[in-house]
Amino acid sequence: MGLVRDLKLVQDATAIPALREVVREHLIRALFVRDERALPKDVVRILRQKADVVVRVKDEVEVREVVRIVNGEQTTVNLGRPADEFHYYRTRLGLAKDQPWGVSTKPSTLVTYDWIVPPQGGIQVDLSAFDEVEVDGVNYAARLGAGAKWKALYDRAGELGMLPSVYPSVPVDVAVADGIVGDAKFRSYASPFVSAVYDVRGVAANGMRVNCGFEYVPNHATGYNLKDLAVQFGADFLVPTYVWLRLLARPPVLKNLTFGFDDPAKVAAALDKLSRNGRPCTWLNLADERGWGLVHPGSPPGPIGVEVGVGGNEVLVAARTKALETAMAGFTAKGEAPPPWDAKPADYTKNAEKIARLLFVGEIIAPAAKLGAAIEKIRAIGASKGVRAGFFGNARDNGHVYVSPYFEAARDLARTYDLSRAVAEAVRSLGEASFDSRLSLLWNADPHFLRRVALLLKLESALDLANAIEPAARLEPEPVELFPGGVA
Amino acid sequence: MGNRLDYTYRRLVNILGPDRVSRSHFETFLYSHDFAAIPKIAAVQFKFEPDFVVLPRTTEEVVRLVRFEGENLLPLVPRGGGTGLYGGSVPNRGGILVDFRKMNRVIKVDPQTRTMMVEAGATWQEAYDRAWTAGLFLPVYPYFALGSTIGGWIASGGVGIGAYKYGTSRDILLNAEVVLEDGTTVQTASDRLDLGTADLNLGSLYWGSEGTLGILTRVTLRLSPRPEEIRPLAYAFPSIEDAVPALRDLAASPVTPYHVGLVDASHLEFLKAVHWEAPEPSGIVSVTLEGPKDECAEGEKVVDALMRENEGGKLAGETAKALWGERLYQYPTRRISRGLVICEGIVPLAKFSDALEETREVQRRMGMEVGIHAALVDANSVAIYPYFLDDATSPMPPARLGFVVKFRKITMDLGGHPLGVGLFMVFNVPAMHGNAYRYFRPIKEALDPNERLNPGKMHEIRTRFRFPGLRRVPLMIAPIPLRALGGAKRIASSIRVRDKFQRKYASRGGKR
Repeated sequence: MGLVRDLKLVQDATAIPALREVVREHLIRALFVRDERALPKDVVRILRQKADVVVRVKDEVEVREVVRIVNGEQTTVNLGRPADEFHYYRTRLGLAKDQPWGVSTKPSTLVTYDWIVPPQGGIQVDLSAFDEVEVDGVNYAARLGAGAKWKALYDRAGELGMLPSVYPSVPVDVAVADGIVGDAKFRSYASPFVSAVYDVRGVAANGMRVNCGFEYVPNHATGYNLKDLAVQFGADFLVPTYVWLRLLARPPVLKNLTFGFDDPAKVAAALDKLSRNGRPCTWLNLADERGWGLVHPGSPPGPIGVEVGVGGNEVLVAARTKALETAMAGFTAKGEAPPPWDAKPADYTKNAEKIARLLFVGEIIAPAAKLGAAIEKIRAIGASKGVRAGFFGNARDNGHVYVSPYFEAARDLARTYDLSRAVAEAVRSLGEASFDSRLSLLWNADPHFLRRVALLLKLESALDLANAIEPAARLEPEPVELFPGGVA
Repeated sequence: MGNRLDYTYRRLVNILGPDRVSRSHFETFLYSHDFAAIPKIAAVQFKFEPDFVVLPRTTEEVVRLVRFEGENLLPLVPRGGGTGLYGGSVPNRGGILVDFRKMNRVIKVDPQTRTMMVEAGATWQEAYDRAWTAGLFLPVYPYFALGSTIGGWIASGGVGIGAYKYGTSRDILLNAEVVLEDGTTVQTASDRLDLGTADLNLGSLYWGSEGTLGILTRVTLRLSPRPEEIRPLAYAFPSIEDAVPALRDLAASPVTPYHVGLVDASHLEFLKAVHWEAPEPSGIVSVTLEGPKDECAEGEKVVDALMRENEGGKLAGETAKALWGERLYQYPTRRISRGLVICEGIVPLAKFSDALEETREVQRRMGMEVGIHAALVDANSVAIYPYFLDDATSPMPPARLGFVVKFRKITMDLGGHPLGVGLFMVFNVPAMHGNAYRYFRPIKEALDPNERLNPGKMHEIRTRFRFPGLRRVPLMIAPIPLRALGGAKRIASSIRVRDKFQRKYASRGGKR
């Protein structure tokens, strides 16, 4: 997810221990909202940087070409950089780790907000046109280009009697690789995204193609777990080009059962109970009334709507439906609706665009029993900030819910920051819960978390020694010009 | 050197006390191998015997050991139950071997959060039993669960029972406490929340790292609700090749089995040699369902129907239960010889028949007795375990070891990979990972820059020697001796030389 860029800048800027305590929070805010009056000149310089060029790649060959240019193996004269400098430094001496000029990736869709640190010059690769979807119908796996949309995969797999093994947490029209280079989340009731990925292929900093897993088999017991590393932090050390995703057989009967609740505490109890009955579900999504209306054409089943994908043969679906209705005690309405993913591509995109206009700040991870409290807190934040608040969410068989709060407000940086902070505070007050967002990583001061950050930074610099992929900003004063205007 | 080792011994005794530090030859000898049969001649190249064996009881003691190790520069090799197959927990240059079996407490089982906090040295069987007693279920565990430790199997990243439905130990790993090379500890995630990839969860980094990046001392595992029923079923086919269409149908069916094991006739022939009551040799598919009773009953109907369509005969319930009961005792034939070599690999299910055919072809050419069993890893892939008898007490490497290299090639040619790295299979890594292999050394150097933790493995084969040129075995040439042995075995087979195992096996009633 390109975590290093922001983390490293904040770490560098608060390197003096005393400053860490005093200014860290203020600094993060000033960085995020681009409050240039409150920031030192060298930081402002970093924030004003942008990519020298944005390249919309269509295939892996073009990505390799881009990385070669960054390495100086192709001419970089057109980009205003002397080729020999980069070629020599990067590939021979490795000294270019001091040059924050390289290649960065641009996700197809960002669900929340952009990074604090923009690309520090160099080439930005826009992966959205790299949208190849290949399902061979023999293996239960799909090969997806880094810009291939999840919905395209769903439709293609459906034609061959298969289903994706994970679903987007918020029905935004995201690419599968946005789970690696962006902030999209995918999961199903039984599986997290990382378990659904067989392989991530990318172009490494040296321009070589790298398969971090195995295309049609899992990577068990093969040494260091590069595949999971690539899913989590891949965008920091390679440019992802292909993802191999596990698929499942589409069951003969697949229903999307809906339940309406008016009491958040009852939904929480129901989802907790459901996770303990050992019955498999395909997906479990929840949304508030407004969110439900954005996804489904009909009227919402209640103030809180829950939809559960139940698959199997007739007998299994009947048994599972009965068990589900028992677990979902307290619902006020029940019914069946077409799965949101079955919408025609144009309709899906239209709905997704409406959802994408909402302001998302991250995802709350909490035990299902805490869902009621989480919903109340989201509503309270909306009321106190004067914006309409709602949520999309999913539940998993591990007894956890993953709630993405949204706010109907303009995507203004200051507002995004304040709402993020409010959600983070609310999550902290919940107790056993975590707020997953890029800002929350910057705020986290847990000593074990900071040790993990240190390990990640070490790892990133070792895997991309030449600092060619997602180069971190270098925080240092501008060089003093001894002879402005040159020496005559 | 002697003085230095004496000093080290005294320091270790200061840390752990005299009862938990040993340097006696008898004990260090016991720790000089794992489950695999290591040819004695390999000791010329490696120093398998550790200088010291230590048994810490707490994380603090492990931290003190790592800090002390920083002073004396002896390698630190963590070891669980010693059930590994490739020397991952065997020293290559002596050093301090840390046996975790005294850190074996199940600290907490929490039915509310469905989690279990357990020390790295507890066995999977102990953890399974504790979870079951608390009304929960440990869904994934290794074939060697009786001896394999929690930390050991997580560090090896292997495949086990329950993989089809629940994945691997990585999928149930919530948090791990890891002692780093600088003597600090880090929690990889949270004990109470399944964070997935949030909060920079580094758990998956240590999964499969074989103790080379940090030492696992305590983990928190996610448990599942205890199923109402575990229902084993078994179906016989003329051979497991004939069962492949049924397996594909099973993968496409609406039933998700808990575990699918495959037993080849060759494995049952081996079993017959030691257990007269073993089922008659044939291809057996063992499907285990788990969950609510009504789902298991319906699942059985679905599986029965699809097996019948593919001409699989259902075996009696008692036979199915017996096969399921024996799942943790796969290799009783070890008693015929004094060792066993087990190969492991994963191939796509679509290539399973090809993998079996090619494995049998190699077996035929080399004139070997090879038992084969397998298990579905998911709807798409299958893990194959061919094994053969070996005498670990023999001073010379058996020519049969050539089979290991051949099998590795078969799996990789078919789009799969061999399982396990350890000390002896490192030469597989460059071929398996291709360009990604270039990341292995930087990862090790970033997280263990002074090469203190289980050094000389994963990305290199380090020998006992310190002279330039002899320090390492180049990975390119490492498999050459094994290939040569394979060639020798093939020639011996072609001139009908029967080795002692073939004779022994035949005398036990085994078929050829």
